[in-house]
Amino acid sequence: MPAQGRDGQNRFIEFAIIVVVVVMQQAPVSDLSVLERQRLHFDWQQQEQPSRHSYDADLCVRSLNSFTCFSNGLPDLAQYSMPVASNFEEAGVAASNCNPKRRKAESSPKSKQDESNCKRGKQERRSESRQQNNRKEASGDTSSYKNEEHPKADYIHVRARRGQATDSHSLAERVRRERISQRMKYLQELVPGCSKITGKAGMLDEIINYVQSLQRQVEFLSMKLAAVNPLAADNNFSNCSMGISSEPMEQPFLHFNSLQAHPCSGLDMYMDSSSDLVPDGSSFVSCSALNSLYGVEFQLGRGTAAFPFQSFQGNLLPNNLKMEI
Amino acid sequence: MYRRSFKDTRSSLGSPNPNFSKPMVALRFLRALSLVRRSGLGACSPSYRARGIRRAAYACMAASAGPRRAWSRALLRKIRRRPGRGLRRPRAVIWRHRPVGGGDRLEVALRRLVPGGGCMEYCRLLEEAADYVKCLAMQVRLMQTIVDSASHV
Repeated sequence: MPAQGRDGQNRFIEFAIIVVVVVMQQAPVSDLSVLERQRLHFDWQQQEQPSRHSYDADLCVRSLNSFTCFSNGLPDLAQYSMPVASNFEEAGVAASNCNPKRRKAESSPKSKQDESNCKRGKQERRSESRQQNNRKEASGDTSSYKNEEHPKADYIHVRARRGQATDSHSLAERVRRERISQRMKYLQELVPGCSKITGKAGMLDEIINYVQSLQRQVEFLSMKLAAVNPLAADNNFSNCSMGISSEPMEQPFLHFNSLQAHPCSGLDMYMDSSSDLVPDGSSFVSCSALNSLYGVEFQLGRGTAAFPFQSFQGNLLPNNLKMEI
Repeated sequence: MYRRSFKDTRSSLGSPNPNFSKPMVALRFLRALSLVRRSGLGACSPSYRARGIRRAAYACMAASAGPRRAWSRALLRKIRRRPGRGLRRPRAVIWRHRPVGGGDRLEVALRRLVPGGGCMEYCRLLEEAADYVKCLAMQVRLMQTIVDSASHV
């Protein structure tokens, strides 16, 4: 909370600085008076809560110092945005460091070829030495793989252990087996109730049953929907499709918004077009459906949801026209 | 009449949509539902309508999963092939890397379940199965919510 307050304070100060700059550029005579006023204001703030606003005070002092030798306006503002931006930079750097480096697959086939040429004893040592530095990466890779959603673009580093065959075929087999086990683990997480079952056969069985049950559920729900739907006349959608100005995709969406009185940032420009639509029973149904579907998700993704709609406009218009004909 | 809805889905296939965008699936599905409903009030028989809705559900799911997935492409192909195509010139299907030895009955069963699973390696099959399961679960949840809200009002 104090950090947010500080950010708000920073922004307010930046805005104040900009305002002051503009004012100064327009009326250079009353510089000192403005500065004096600002100084008094900031000093007062400083006195009020010295601990909290110490950072702001530094900013203010710096700004005031710059004003005295200030000629053109805005480049000095960069230094104020720096402390705020530095946090983001650090975060970005930290994030990029967190992603472990991906070794190319060239290293593993190369090592395999080398090992196939050498004797067994030497092979083991070589594979050890070459893949010792891989080992760290491997552990990092597996850990990153667990964080990742899709275990696709991962390169599996296999270590040739003592007493195991180290020719290319068996290594490839081992790589394949490792990959399969990774996928199976991922599937295990997806399918509920699969964590207790060990063994590939049991898990596969469980997965197959789950997929079959899901497909049966889709069938059942579609039958239910077919039974339920004709009761609710869908005037809303038909009206939307005849709309000229905006997209039918957006219109029902916005209509739901207007009904639910959700303040929508990106879709506000379409709000006026939805005034003539008459709400129906089905629209309420869909409203509640959408609400229950999205909940927080929708409210959070409001800003981002606006863009795909805008991008759909070009694509969907000609198709809609075709449909109407 | 189903071709229209698929034209729409095809137009938006160019953008690689992640299948985590639940609102997109929901919108597509509701739109498809309205299309089905508008097409002659569903041709009067609930089973016919149910089949249409089911096909729409799969189409929406596949469309929102994106063209990068083998199962979504195969599913869309299967859906679009049926209405009115019938007997065309026998197309030579290029079976890329046809897997050898269907001895494992579990593997065979999985291949049959996952769309497009006939010509995939085992690794790839598991990957596609995982994605398919995720999308299916999302679709089922979506449909369940719609049915619930429709039955409550």
